[in-house]
Amino acid sequence: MPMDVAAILKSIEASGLATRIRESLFLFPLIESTHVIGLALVFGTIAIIDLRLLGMASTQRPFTRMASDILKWTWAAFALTALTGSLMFITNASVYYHNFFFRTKMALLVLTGMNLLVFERTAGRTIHGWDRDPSAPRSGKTVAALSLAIWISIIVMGRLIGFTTSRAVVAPPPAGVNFDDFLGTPSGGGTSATPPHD
Amino acid sequence: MICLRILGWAGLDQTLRQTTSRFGPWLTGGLWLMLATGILMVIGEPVRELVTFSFWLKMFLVAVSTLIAASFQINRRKHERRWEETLMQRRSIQGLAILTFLIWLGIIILGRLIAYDHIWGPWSPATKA
Repeated sequence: MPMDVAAILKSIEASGLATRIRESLFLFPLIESTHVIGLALVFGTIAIIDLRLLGMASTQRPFTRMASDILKWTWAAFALTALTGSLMFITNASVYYHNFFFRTKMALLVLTGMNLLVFERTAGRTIHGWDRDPSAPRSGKTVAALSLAIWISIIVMGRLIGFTTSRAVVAPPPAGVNFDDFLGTPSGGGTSATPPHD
Repeated sequence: MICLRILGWAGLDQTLRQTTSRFGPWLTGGLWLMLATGILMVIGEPVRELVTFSFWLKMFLVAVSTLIAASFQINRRKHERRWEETLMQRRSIQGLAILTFLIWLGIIILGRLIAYDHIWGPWSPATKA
């Protein structure tokens, strides 16, 4: 990693805001909870739109009417997730920056933006021709199916970040302790412990 | 979406019956899915889930919100016309829609706080262990 990126990440982590969030008992859990609320709203509202494009729900409702009704909530929720996501990132920037699942999540977010752009350039151009049809043309349906798949993957990646960047540390068991003895299973089966995670 | 329709903040081109028949089955399906995955998580890590204040408060709120949703559906089916014409405009009903929305926000927050139960201090059984 170039030195300047490492230095930037360290300075982000050392900022007053990041330190305050990191050292507070309540701030990080509350920011994370708000992030989850935002994500639930983003996915829920996007799913409503995608299912309409696929012709699986709300087929009687004109697409443009529905989109103008719902997309404002999607954008507001997206802004909330971006803000809370950034606040979580700054608390542990160098760890998140190197995390595979974080990077995949960011790449998927870019991909979902590109998918939206494809919609605007294809089915979006002829919207008034199929607005009242029960489903979108093939290009619109493809974009909708991809959108659902990408957003589900984003949620999975987000959860996996929590399972792989936990700051919790579990001390190793004392030497000579065999967990199989406690479980009443024959010894020699190896030990297993649940990995720490948020 | 049902709460937003009652409040008049979305779906105004749809009747309340159309809105509930569109989103009701997804709501019920979602609840069953969460129940199934929730049970699997409790079986997987019973102590981590059950010995927390957040979990039990969340379960209480889930029970309250399910009760509100079931009562709403029964009453709406019984008095369909009244709901469309007058009941939706009542302040008490709109207040209940806001309360339901807030309860669900609380459920999401508490779900996340199970992992951070120590923030409840003496209320958390985990801190006594």
